[in-house]
Amino acid sequence: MKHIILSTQVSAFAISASLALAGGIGAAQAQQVEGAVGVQNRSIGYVMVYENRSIYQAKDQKTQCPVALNDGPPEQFKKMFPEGTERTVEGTRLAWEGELWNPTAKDLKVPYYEVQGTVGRGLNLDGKVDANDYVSPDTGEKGIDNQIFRAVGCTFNYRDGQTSTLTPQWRRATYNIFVIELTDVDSLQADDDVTVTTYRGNDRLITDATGNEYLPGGTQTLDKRWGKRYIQSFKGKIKDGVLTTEAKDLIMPAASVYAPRDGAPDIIYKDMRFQLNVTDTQANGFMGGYADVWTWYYHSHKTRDSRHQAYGGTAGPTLYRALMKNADAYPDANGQNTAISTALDVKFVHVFVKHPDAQVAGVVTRGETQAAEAAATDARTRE
Amino acid sequence: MLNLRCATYVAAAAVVMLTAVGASAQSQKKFPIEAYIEEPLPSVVQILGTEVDGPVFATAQGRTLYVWPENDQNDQGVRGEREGKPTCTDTVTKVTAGFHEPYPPNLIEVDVATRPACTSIWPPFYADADAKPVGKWTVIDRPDGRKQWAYEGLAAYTSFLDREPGQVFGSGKLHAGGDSGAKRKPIGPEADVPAQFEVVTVPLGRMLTTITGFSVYTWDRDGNNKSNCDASCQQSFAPVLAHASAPRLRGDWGVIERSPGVFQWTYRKRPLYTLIGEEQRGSFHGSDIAGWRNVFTQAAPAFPKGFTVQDAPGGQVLANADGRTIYIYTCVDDTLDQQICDHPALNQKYRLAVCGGFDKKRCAEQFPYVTADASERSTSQIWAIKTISTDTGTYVDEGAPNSARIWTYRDRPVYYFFKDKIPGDTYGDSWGENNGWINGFHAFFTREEYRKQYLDTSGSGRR
Repeated sequence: MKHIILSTQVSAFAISASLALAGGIGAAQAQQVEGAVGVQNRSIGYVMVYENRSIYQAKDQKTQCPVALNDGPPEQFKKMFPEGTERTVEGTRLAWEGELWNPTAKDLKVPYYEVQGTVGRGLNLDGKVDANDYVSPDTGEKGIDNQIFRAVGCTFNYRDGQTSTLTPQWRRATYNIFVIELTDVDSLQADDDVTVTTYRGNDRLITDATGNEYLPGGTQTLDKRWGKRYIQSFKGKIKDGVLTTEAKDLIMPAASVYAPRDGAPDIIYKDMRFQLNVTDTQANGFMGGYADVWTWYYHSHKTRDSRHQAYGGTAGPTLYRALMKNADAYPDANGQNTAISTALDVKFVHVFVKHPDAQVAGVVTRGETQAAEAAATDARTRE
Repeated sequence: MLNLRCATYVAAAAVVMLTAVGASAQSQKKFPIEAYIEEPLPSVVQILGTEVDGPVFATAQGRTLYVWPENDQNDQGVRGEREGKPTCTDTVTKVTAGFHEPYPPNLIEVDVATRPACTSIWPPFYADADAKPVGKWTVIDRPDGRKQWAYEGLAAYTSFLDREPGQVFGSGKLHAGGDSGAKRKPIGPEADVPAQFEVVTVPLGRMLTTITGFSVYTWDRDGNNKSNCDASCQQSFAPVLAHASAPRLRGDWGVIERSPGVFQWTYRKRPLYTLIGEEQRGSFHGSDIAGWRNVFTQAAPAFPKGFTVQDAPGGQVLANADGRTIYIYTCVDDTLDQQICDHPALNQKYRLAVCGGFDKKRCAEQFPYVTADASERSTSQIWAIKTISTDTGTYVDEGAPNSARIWTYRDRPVYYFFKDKIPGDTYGDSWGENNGWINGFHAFFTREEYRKQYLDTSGSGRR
């Protein structure tokens, strides 16, 4: 949205380039830009370059999924509506899609497999060690809460399949870039009071010449108009270079490249928190919390429909049942949990964060008169 | 190019049938018709203005004409018609084609016993046996031996949904695939704009852009045929320059000389500009800046009184007075004739499946109709008030039992979504099969922002 930043849209990258070209401009100014890495004015920005659900894959898949990986839509369809029977659109396809979009409690009579075992990655969200919790394969930490792993860990899409491989690519698309800005920072090694604010970004990420490695030092213009709801702040602290934040609800636009027009459906995470190793150039680690089952389930089908889910064995109706069965927080009035513990593996690189020009941002919210203005313009130009 | 078009215009004018000219003038009383390049027409074809789709070709009775071009169904196969090869016939297709992956072919269609033939939904525009080609219009043979008019080689049809002149209820030009699932396109003459420009249909009207798709703007501080955009102003907006040979005045178009030898296009006397650095085609970014406006050859009818436009994560959406987002439903089936399934005159089972799992009560709770109270009145064809049966989902007479007075867009009901709580929520968007495109719901976007941004910057070439 370049219009929003007309007066300030020159990126740090462009500044660097123009300074290099101009040559005659003061060396001190150029040095200031060249040296602009890490914390400046007690703040530093990062952009997400990798996001994936924390799915620990054992060397031997059979130890986790001893029977099989889960069927996808076509396999389930064949079992539920075998060839040789009279198959109507209403009784098969629409019945299946109807169940996908409006899940019920009825028995679908098709198998669904959950992950077996006790090893899994993520965070200990509740500070307890419970029977259903996992042990980290990396640190040996007990009490890891990640029931989404149990629910989807035997589904190819979430292991090596497309959802797993494409999600990081989608997150890097211009479509819904995720930016965090740390403020009130005295040191990236130790600081007991920092603020982490999330934003949607609007600019492309910079890569190396291969296009595969994402480089620190780019610029992200923050989307403060359409992405207003994604501006959320967390208090945190840094100890030994590890940032941890308080647990708060987070609305996160889903990664998607199939371009639903709403800019990607939101996923609501309850008690989300960050645990990141932060440096001048990157921030890597986990985000963990309880995913609202409703938004998590529907985001998966709005970003990938049955056709695409079929490429990796994700069948909506059985997935929904698995999510509800393993949901472990936020019970409703009937005692049914509505949120499920989860963790995201995330990687960020440093970016210069550009806040849009307030003056221009102030004149943009006049949507309610949009139609009237179009009509007025039409009429006026006919005079 | 403009000069060439002028030549065409003049040459064409000599052979245009009087009915076409007369109808244009007549329709202009109802809709402010956009200027178009006249072309030779058969005597049975006229050009009519429409509320949102620009000028369209219509039959002598005023029925809008459509074609059904070949379309790629999600990389799963091509359907539609080739030039000179009409396939929409009286034969009822009874099974699916299998293009809606992951579902197999040969599933028996919904309500197959009463399913209409393709020609019942899209009546062919038949030609007399002795009809002769005129301009881009030709006469082709149908499979049953009858003659049919074709435009640029593609067989022309009417829609059973259009009942009055100017209605384009069969499909539309609003966005890819139309704002119904019909896969048919209304046809009409080319907009009469200089070669540097084109006109695109957006929910607010017929919007002027450059030929490369970037919006053009006018500035309130300019005068008629006078630009006041100085060097400072031109740091943000660039005059749309015209060639020295461009005609000084032609219809709505003109040229002013900004400085010796530098010419700028005007539209209806207002100098035109583009926004410097604009990356998104068809955007409204320039008009976010005070005093600058997008340019419309024709504004769409006003939204119903009390409706609002709200900022949402993906742009701006239409909403009710409380800010609750409004949705449209689109549907196309998986048969070889690609019948629509998104209109109350047709079966409701596709909609009921995705909006409530065939449970009418759940459907009504999740996607309730946008009701109109007794005092509300429609002021356009495109936004109309209808009475619908809450039992069957079909239109009924006002006052019928178990009915509701509802708002419709392009003759189809519009809806709310039960999870939307605050203005800008669009939790019902992309709900349904194929992200809602073949059987599902979409928020009514008046300004697509984020998706367009992605599509324009991803190099996908889609708009």
